[in-house]
Amino acid sequence: MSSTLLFNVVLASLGETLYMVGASAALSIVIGLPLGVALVVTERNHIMANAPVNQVLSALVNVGRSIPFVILMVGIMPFTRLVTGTSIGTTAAIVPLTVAAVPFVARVVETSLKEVDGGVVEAAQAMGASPWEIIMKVLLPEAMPSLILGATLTAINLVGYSTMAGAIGGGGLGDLAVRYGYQRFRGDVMLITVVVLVLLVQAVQMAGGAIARKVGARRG
Amino acid sequence: MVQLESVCKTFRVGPTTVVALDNVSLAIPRGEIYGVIGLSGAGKSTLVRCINMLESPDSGRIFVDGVELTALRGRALREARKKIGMVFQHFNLLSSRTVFENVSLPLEIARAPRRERAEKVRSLLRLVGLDDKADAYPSELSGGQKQRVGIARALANDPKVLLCDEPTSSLDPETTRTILRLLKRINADLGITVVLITHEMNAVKEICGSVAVIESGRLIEAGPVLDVFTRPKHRTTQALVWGLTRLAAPPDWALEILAAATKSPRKRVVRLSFVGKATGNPVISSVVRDFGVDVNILTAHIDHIGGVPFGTMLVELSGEPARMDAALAFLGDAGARVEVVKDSRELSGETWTSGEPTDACTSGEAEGSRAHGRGWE
Repeated sequence: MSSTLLFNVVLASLGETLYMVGASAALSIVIGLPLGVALVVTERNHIMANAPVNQVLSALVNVGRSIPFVILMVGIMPFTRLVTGTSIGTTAAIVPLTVAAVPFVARVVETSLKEVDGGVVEAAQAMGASPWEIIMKVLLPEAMPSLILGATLTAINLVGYSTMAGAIGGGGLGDLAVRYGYQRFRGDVMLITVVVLVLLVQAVQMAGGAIARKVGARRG
Repeated sequence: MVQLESVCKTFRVGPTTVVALDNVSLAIPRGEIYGVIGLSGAGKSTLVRCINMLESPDSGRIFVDGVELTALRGRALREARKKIGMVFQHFNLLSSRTVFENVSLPLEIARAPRRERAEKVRSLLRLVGLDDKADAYPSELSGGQKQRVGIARALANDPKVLLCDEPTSSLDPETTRTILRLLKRINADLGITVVLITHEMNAVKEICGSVAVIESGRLIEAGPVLDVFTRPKHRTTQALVWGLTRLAAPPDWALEILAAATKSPRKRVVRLSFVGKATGNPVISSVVRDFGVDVNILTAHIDHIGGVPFGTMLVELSGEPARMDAALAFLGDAGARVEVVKDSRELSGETWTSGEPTDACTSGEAEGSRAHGRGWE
């Protein structure tokens, strides 16, 4: 494999990884954020306290988080086929990645929102704010720097998960490392992929940290 | 303006049940600055949080401006809350919003149009003296400034009642005074009824017209501040007032004198309280001159409540028992309240009664601590 070819293969794999991670991160936040909010506000003494709903949601999240990703990927293939029309390929991999990340996002959001001072929520209640207003105007804005760090954490986790997507033909950097680096004993390919993955994670972490700092800059 | 009828509230802490409010009835008149005082854990915070239903009472009824809040739920309750401002000990400002945006929040919730909001926020910030801090974040403010933002925010929807839950308890004495003055000015200028929860007698003394004393969830004493301060009936109230007048901890030598006095028929330790005009009369010198009784002043404190002077004095009398009796009668006639102290615990205020539980909350009996039912002299 010439260096140009190698470069193109790595670039294509990076593109696949970015596509899988980007799409699944976005989707899992869209689904996981409301779930995390629900986990918090249905807690005892919170603004929409509802013990049965809270327990059911919490149990679902725990089940989702305990299934190993490789098993999940294969296990939900019928569902993947239903959503994307196929159970193999890069786009198909987005489905299990999202399903795996949603419970993670929900817990991350839950943790972030719990850091919001209860007194602030109480102040909003005393103003006559509805639960929806408290969520939109108090809980989410107050937790924003922490939520951004949570999203960063999710994206980095998804980079890790996406390396297993090769099992269903998802491609990406992890797949490249396994097929070329490991199975064909190409130490150079292995090294390059690992370096690219390290750089990717670094970039995501730094970007997330910078945005969180900017958002929380004057809050102290 | 605010009325509580037999309000009971209990909390479950693990296996035990804590009675936070035990059959409390209270009427706060319109335009008043009403103090609610008690030691920490007495239930005063629960009381104020019941007024806007942040805590819903187990039983009893709560009225604000004629509306029974205890009968309201959901949207109707939220609408009623918009007319009740609340100020918190820890300010509870949103760190994600500037001063301007914090004060604007209640207006957003009340769906006020943007232009109207901006005008209202500007005028409120002028009122509390923070017009130059509109774009600052709470983290950039001092404690006193934060509380002024909290007060401006509480006033945003032109409330009828301002509930203040220990508003000065995390502030230094100087800032405390400015915040209390601000509350007083708001009460005078805007005619808003203020409920001030505090454990500081000084705060009550400075701005309140009336005061209720809470202990172990029960209302033990209530009335005009001057009456409660000058003639405290309940042990706890006495202790709180003595704390204010610096008679709570008499020096050791005063206790020694008391110990000696209790053994001698020719000596007595007496607490004298004067209110208003009586403080101006030279009664002590009259006692010495006209009754031949020696007076040794152990501690004394003169203070003012709403412009009315009042004083408390701990004195040792020595002389013929019959002459001392006559002198004490004279002092009583002159308008002083006379208490002969026999026990050192009466001086230090250590003998606070915790009170007998009324069981009113558990049995539903309406017998209890009604505010004005205890008979004022």
